[in-house]
Amino acid sequence: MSKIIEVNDLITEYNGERILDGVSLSIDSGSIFAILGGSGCGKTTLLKHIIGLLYPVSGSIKIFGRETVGMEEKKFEQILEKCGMLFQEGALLNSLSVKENIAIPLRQHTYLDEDIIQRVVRTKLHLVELDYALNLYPSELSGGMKKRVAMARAIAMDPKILFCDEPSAGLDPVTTREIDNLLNKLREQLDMTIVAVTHVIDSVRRIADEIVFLHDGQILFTGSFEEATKSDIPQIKEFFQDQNI
Amino acid sequence: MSADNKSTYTLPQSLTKENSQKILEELKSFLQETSAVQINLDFKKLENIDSTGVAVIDAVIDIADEKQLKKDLLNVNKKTQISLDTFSSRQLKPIKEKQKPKLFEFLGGQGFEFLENLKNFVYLTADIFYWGVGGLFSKKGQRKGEFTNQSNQIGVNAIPIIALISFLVGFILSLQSAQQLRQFGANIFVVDLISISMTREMAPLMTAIVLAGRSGSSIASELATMKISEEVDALKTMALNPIKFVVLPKLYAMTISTPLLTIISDAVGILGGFVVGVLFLKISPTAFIDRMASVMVLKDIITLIVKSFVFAWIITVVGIYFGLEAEGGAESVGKNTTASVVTAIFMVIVADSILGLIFY
Repeated sequence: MSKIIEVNDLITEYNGERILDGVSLSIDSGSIFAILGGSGCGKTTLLKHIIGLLYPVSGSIKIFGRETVGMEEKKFEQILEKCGMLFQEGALLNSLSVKENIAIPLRQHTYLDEDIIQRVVRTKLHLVELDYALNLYPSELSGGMKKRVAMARAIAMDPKILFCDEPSAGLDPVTTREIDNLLNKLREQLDMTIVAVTHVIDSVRRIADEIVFLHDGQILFTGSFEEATKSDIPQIKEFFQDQNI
Repeated sequence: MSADNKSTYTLPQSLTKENSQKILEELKSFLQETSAVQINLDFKKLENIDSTGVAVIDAVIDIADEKQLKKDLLNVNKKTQISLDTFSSRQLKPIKEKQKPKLFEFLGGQGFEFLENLKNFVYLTADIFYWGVGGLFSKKGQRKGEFTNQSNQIGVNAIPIIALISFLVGFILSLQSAQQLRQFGANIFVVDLISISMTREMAPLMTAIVLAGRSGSSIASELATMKISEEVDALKTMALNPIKFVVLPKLYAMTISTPLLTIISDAVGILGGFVVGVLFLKISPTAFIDRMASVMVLKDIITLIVKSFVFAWIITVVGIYFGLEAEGGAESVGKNTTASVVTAIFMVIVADSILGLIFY
């Protein structure tokens, strides 16, 4: 399998404090990759660096084999068009209805007929089981519903890579399982690579091909979920013990 | 390609968002031009299809249905079939669009909404004044140090801008009127004009307009942000009254600061007139001050003070009302802040007219 994302020796600081300290990882194309770790260990920061929302002190990030650190903005936007991002709180635009939110990337980055756009919007909303929310506004949705609409928006363009920041946080177990099934289906149908930051171990067990475990800005472990559960590293043992694994 | 009254279109190797629009146009032309009674879409070359591609296939099938053509999908492999099943929009039930209200329904709705808003505004005003008076005697539930902080933000920080605007207004007002008065040799009446107009009208009005734009908007946006981020609810669950905890320090700060700022505005505005009088109209400083002392009466000062108090309360209550009415997200913060400034300025001008008649 080819590597779709490669991070090498990434160092980042915030207010003089080191957040990521020499993080290196590589992600196979078409895999589901989970980033695990306790609160404040730098998981979301790592994700934000990969998608270019934050800029590192040093290190290298390659997406689709192209170095993105220091890349010209227009070129980086071309890469971002092939990526989708699901934010922790959904980050829907409140002034737009659900269907308009999902249609944003399709309207901005393609020249498709409105009929085709509406069909894609309805399909994506159906995938997250929120057909009835088509004409609603984000203020009329619950937290979990917002998250699912945000998922529909993130996959509107059938991205090659889908980044998810806590995809299951705030969702009930049934919806969590449905989202996991959807992620698996997207990977199979569209060869999508999925990078998920998560705390939900059941989800990781269900979907992840490979995980990394972050602690204090450093990677303590890389491997499969089963290997992680058998790890002797104290922090990982403690993490899994706390979650009754 | 047509044979036995059938037309076949062979799909390309890839049908994704990159080429979907082009293929859709081709398929539409194909359907337009065909005279066959059955169309076939041949998938034998197709290796890659995404949700946009599936939407194109759906659209073509719908057009064929409209034209009452038979259709068949040929050589669909397993992977493509799963994609068609997963991403097809044809099996989805239509969703009803929200119906737009008819004219009378719309007018009724607007009228009802206006009355509802008016009721909420009256209740909130009553609440603010109840707690405003009660808060003077009981400090329980109020935020310590916030009054000083708000007075600093609303009052002290506004002095430079209010002083500058007032000076320029006084200066221009004197300069424009001097041009007319000079023709009649009535230069000295500039003093009457500037002293009375600044004290009774311009200083309270200019201060109120600046405060509505500066502090009213700040109050509205702060409360709106607190409302939509559930901070107001959090206060309620901690058994804290949001009016006492958040609103009262602002109300007290506005009540104290506005009259003081208005007095500063009045003094600096008259100073602007003084500069014009002394430099352009050759009125001696002593004559200016003597004339000013003789034309101004206590009623002018009372008018200034009363107006400044009324304007302060209008700006604060309107800002609080629109802040607490915010619902939804970021857009609502912007809308309500704008509405608070526009409404406050409008209400200040209406109140100014009423007070002008009362103190005439």
